[in-house]
Amino acid sequence: MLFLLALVLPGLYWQGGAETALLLRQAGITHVLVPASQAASWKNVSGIDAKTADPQGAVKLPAPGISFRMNRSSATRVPWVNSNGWQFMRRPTGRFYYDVSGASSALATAEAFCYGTDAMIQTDAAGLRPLAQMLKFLEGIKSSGGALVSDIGFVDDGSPAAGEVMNLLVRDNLLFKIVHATEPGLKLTVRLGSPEYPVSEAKNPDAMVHRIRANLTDERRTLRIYGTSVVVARLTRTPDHLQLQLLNYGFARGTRVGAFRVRICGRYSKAQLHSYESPGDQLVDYDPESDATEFTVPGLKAYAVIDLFK
Amino acid sequence: MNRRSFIYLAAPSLLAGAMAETAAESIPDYRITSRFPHSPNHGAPGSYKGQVVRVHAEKSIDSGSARVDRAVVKRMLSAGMQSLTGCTRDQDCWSRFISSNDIVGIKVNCSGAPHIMSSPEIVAGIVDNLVAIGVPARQIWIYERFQGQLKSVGYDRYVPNSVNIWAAEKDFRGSILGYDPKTYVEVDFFGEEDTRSFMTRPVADTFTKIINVPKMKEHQAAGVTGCLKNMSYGHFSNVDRSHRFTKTNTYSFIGTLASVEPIPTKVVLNIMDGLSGVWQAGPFSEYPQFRFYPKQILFGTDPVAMDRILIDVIEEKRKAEGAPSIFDRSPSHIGSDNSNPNFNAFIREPGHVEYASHLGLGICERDRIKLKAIEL
Repeated sequence: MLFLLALVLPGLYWQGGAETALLLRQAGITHVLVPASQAASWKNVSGIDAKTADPQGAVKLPAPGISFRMNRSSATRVPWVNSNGWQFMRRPTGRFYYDVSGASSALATAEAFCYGTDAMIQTDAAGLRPLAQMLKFLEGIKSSGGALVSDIGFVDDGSPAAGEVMNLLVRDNLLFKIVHATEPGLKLTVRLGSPEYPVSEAKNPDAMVHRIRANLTDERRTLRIYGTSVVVARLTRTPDHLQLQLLNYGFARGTRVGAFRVRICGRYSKAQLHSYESPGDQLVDYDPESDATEFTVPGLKAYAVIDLFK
Repeated sequence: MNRRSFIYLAAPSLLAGAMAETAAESIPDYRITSRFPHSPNHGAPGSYKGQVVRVHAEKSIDSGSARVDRAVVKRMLSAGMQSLTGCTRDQDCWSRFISSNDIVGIKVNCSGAPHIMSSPEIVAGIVDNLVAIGVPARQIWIYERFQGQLKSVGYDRYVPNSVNIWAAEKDFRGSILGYDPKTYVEVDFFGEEDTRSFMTRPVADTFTKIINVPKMKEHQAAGVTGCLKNMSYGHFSNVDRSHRFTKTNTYSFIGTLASVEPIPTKVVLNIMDGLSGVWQAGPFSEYPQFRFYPKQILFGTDPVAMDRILIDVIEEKRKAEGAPSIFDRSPSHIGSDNSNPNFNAFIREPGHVEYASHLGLGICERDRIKLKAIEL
């Protein structure tokens, strides 16, 4: 049985004064992070719990989403995914700050939550309701508190090159964790500067990630996603339970991803889908085999959690 | 491995020595998973291996207005089917392939719609013949991958209401729900992350027979798009990933996809619409100047033989227009401006037809193909 853990929920960073309380209430905001200069004005506002926060010193993140770089890549229609996952993995205890507008606030909120990070999210009036709705959804998510599932150990030397390789690993759902040295249980360890992964070749991070993928082999990958190129996954595990979090980076453009297929190593006899703004959605074509479990996610707005049980 | 599925690999060794010069250098590693075993009773190449019937009718379509004469098309269908089967009654012809119990999929091609597509007059004529042999209209499906293209044609205005008109996806990469999750080809062409192409679901689950109705067109990547391309790319998801920059893997991907069961078993008849066609910048029809009017329909069960004839048609037209051959691989003819027939975005791979022949899908050698020409 799962139990509710005290999860880190991202917070709205709001510079407006108490006179904007009605706007926040109408959007469904109940908690707010405010600059110290505004703290006094929020003290006696009912229905909204205000705490002081300072984005100074926090890592400012770009808006998560997708972009099309037709001039940069090739004759492919696969968009470029702007994910901040690698930043969270590089600084697991870091403080982060987004400044996003509109529906992107929901995706930013989900992204920060997915990586269990402490994030402040500043948004505009149009972003308040999506942010509030996402926070409400996230409050209902139960975490197994499981360990991160990784196929690859990546030795992060803190360099920009290593950061870009990690960025691409995240985008391609090549599951990794940051290590100092080879660890048992990992299928591959990557250290830039080793003979297998020369720093000179990391100048082309795309080629480097292809090499990592080739060395790992697709057959040994714990997770595969088919039918979309804009969904990034994060996987945690306890002995009898797997939790898969899915982020749709196309949501920032208002795009709901259509049905896509997921393959996960291991047999899981049942699963439960919790999908943001799609409470009735259920997994289809569920197929647990001896060595892997496959299922189709019928669609994805911004974020979903799938709990799989043995 | 899924115990209810069959995994088989394309067998390049069988193809050794049979490849056209360049494209065969690196055949990708295809991994095929299908719920259906190889069948010895293929619909393709079928009973009429190496045979193609061409019916030409000058009055079938008006070159100026592109208006199709449905009555002439009806006569063309009758003549073609009778010539192919040797039967003298239309009902006997169609009964060679289809029974009243069948659920029949009619695979149309709408990528050039609304100007160049499987003509609704031909599709309606096929439906009429199926109904005439006792196939209930509700057991007939007209289908394509993308709904937008399919709807733009308006087949519903030509066939009985109860005929199903179905598309696998609303738009590009819309959803995989229209595809069978257990029948797919897995391959990594360019390091793309999404390496699976799933087969359309009713092809796997619903249809008992398929009538393939491609359009007569040049194709920027494949060289030509006819029976094989419609059987392959027209039945699978996530296939445009096979082209990048000037390189295309259509050479081997088309035949590989077309040979995945149950496609070769269920495709029992090919009727290629050559009333109108495209000779440059296909499979789309962005440029009116590249449309042409062969005014013919091809009939057969052998998709390779039919596509071999298609190559001749396209080559002849291109030659008449002073355009390079579709077999031309010169870098000097590579260019993004394909409004100029001297240029093309990709190195075309018409050798895919020969490749498919080595997968057992039909006869490619021109001197072994028996072409019967009928003039109406």
